[in-house]
Amino acid sequence: MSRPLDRTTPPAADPARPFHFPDTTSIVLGNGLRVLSARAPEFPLVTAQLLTPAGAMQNPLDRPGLADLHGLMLLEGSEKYDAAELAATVEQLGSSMDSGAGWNISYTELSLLSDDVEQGLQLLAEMTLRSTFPEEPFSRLKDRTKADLIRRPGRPNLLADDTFSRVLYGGSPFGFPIKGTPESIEALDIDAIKTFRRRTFVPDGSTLIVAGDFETETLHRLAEDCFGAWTGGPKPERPTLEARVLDGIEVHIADRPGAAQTQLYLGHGGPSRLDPEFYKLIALNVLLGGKFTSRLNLNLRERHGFTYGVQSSFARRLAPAPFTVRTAVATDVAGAAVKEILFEVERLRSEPVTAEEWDETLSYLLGVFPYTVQTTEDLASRLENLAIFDLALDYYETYRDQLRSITPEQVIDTAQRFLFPDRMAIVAAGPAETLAPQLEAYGPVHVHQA
Amino acid sequence: MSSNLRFDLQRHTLDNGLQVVLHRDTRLPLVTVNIWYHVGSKNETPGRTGFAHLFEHLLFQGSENVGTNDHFRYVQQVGGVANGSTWYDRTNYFETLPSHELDRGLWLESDRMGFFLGGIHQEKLDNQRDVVMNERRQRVDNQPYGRATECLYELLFPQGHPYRWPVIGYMEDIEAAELDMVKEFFETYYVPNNAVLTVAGDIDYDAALAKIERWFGPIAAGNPPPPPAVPTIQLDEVRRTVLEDQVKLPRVYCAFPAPRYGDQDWYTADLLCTVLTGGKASLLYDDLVLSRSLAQFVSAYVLPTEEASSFGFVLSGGPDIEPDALEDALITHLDNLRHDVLDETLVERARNRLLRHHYQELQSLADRADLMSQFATYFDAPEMAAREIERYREITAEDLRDLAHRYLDTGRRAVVTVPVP
Repeated sequence: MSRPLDRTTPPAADPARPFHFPDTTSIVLGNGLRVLSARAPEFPLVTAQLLTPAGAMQNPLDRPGLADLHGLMLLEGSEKYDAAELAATVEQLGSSMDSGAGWNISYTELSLLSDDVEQGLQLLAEMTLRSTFPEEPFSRLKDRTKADLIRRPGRPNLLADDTFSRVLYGGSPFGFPIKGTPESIEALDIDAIKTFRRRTFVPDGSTLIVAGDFETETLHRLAEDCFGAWTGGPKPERPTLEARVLDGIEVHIADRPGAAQTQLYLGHGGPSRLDPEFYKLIALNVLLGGKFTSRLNLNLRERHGFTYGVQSSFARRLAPAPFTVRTAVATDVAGAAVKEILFEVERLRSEPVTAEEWDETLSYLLGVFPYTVQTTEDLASRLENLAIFDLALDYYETYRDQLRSITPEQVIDTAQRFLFPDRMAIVAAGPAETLAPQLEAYGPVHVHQA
Repeated sequence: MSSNLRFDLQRHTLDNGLQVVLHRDTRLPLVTVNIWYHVGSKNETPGRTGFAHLFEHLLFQGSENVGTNDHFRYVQQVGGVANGSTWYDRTNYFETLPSHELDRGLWLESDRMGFFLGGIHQEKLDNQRDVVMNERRQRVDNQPYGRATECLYELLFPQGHPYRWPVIGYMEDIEAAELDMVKEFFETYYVPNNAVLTVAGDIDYDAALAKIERWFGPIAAGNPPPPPAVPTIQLDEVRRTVLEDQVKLPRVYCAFPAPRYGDQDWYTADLLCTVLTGGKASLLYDDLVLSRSLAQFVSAYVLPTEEASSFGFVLSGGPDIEPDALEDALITHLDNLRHDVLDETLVERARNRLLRHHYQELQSLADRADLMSQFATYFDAPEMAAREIERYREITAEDLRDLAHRYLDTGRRAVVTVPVP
C-alpha cells in the first residue's frame, strides 16, 4: 500500500454492492388462505407460520387474554395427538413450536430442518385446523397462565407498560395485557374459546408464511394438501379502538416502595400502521429514539448518565396505536430524565433538523436493511409485516425509495402532527414517595398501588 | 448427525501477534469485523470486580482519532450495527457494515487497539460508571430474582475463584473504579498478541488481508498477559442460602461443578441439559411442568467457560408450591439419572434440537464470526464453528448416565431458594 495511512477521518468506501430482498411469492388458495413465501436456501432451515385474524384486538372487552389462550390451546391436543404426543412428534424432528396472539393476528409457528418441511406443514395443519380443545389441559394451561400473570407486576418494565396501557386505553382491549389478567383468565371457559375461534379463525384473511430452504412448487402443493380443505366464514371485522386524548400531561406512578430504579413510560395515542405516512414516522423515530446514536440516547445516556438506554417507537397495529418513550433511570434523576425526554420530543417539533443529521438517519435506515434479513426468522417476520398490513410484494424494494424521498422539512411537519409532548401520559414505576415530588410539576399525579 | 456446512476460511498471524481469521460469504453485501480480547471478569481481583465490563464501555468512548460519541456514529451513519460484550473469559467487540465499508470498521477497531489512551479522561469514566451502575440496577438489582445467580456462585466457587463474582461486578466496586486502573488494564490486556480478529462476509481474501495489515500492522505487540489464578472448586457438602426478594412465585437455583468447555464431558453435559429441559417434551418439563404442575418452567445449563464452572438448574414454582418440594423433585430426578439409562428416543430428540440450533446460530454473519473468534481464542481452531456439532454425534444414553454419575452428586451442591415472602 503506497498511500500514507490517514487515521484522522473515516476512510473512503469501496464501490457498493447492490442488495435485493429475496424473491417473494404469493398465491391464494380457493378457500381464501394466502400462501406467502421467500426462499433463502443457504441453510437447511425453514420457518413456517400460520397467521390468522384471531389477534388480541378481537378480544371482547370483558375477555382479555382470550385470543392468546386460544393460540396456546392449539398446542394442547388435536384429533390425532394429545398434548404430550404433539410435543414429542414436533420435537423429534428437532423442531420447536410456538403459538399465541399478537394484537393484530394470532400465530402458530414451527421452526424446522428443511428435510422435514412436508411433515412440518402436516403437523402445523393438524394442530391448527384439527385442535380438539380438551378440558384437562385447558384447566392446567389456565393455571400456568394465571401464575405467569401474577409474576408480571413484579417486573418494572411490564408494570409500567400495563399501567400505561390502562391509562390510555382503559375501556378497550388495548387497555389490558395481551395475555389478560389473572381474573380474566380464571373466567374463561372452553366455550368462550370455541366461540372466539368460530368468529376469527378463518382462512379468509389468514396467511401461511414460509421462509427458508424449500422448493416453491412443492410448497404450493403441500399448502393445498394441508390447508386447502379448511373452511370458515368471512374474516372478522376490525373493531374501532381509540386512545384517550389527554387534556394535558398526566403523571401516573405505579408504586414500588424501595425499588432500586424507576422505569419510565411516556407517550400518547398515535396512528395505525395503515396510515399512509407511517414510513415517515419510522424514519423520524430512528432519529428520536430508534438507534444508539438517537437524540434521546445521546442525551439521557451519553450526556447525563441517567440510564443504560432509552428507546422510543410508534407501535405497529391495525388500529390507532401508542407512541412511547421507554427507559429505566436512577430514581433520584427521574424528574430530570422526564424533562430531557419532553425537551427532545419538543425539539423535533420546533427546531429544523439539519441536512447532515437527517442524512445520517436515512443512511442508517437504508444501510442497515440487509442486516435485518439474514435469517429465516428475519424473513418470516418481514413477510408477516406484508401479510398483516397488506403491503405490496415489492414493498421492501419501494420502501427504501420512499424513505430516501423524505426531506428535513417533512420531519418537522410530521413531528408537529404526530407528537404531543404537552398531552403525554407519564408513567413511572418506582417508589412513589421519592417520585411524586419530582414529577408533580408536570401535571396531576395519580398513584397506583399494585 | 453431522452438519452439511463447510465454511471457507483463512488464517493468518500478523508480526505483532494479532491472529486473523478470514471467512468469505457473498450471500449479502455485508461484512462483520469481530475482535475477541482474551480478557474478562476472571482477570479481575476482589474489590475491583466489574472492571473488565466497565472498560468495555470506555472502549466505545472514542480514541485519539475518534471523538467521544463518534464510534457508534461512524458505524450507524453508513447503516452499520456495533456492540460489544463482556464475559468471564473474554471481551468482544463487533460491527457489521455494508461490505464496501470494511475499511471503516478496521479503522475504528485498530484506532482503539492502538490509540485508545490518548482519548480517555475522567469525565468519560464518570459518565460510563453512571451508565453501568444503571445497567446493573436494570439487569440485577431492580429485577425479581436478580441477585439469585450471584448468590449461587458465591456458594459454588471458593474465595478468590475468578468466577465467584458477577461479570457486571458489585455496585461498590463499579463505583470505586479509577482512571489509573484504566491505563494499567489497557496496557496489560489490550495488546494485539492477546486478540483474535475475524473478518467475515462479502470480502476478497487478499484485499481484506492487505487492509488488515495496513490498519493493525503498525500496532506494537505487548507482553503476554499474566494468566489468572484459578483455584479448584471444592464442594464436599450441600451449601445453601435463602434469598429474600419481593417475588410472587418461588424459585430454586441449584449448581454443581461442571466440566470445562471443550472437553467431551462438556458436550455430554450440554446434551443432557437439552434432554432434561429443551422443549415441552423434555424430561423435566414434561414431568414437573406438564404432568405434576409443580413448576412454571425449568432450565438446565452448563456454562461454556474456559475453566470448569457451573452445571446449573433453575426451577420456577407454581403458586402455593414450596421451594422444598421443587428441590426434592429435582433431586429425585438427578439421582435417577445417575442410575437409570434414558430412552434413546429422548437422546435423539435432543440431538436433533441441537442440530437445528446449530444451523440457526450460524445464519447471522455476526454470530458466525463471533463463533470463529471464540474457537480461535479458546482452542486455536476457528473451523470448529462448523464442526463443533459433531461432538454430540457419538454420545449414548449410557454416556449420559455415566456423566450424571460423575458430576451430579446431589450430596455436593450449591442451592439458592427464593421463597415467596
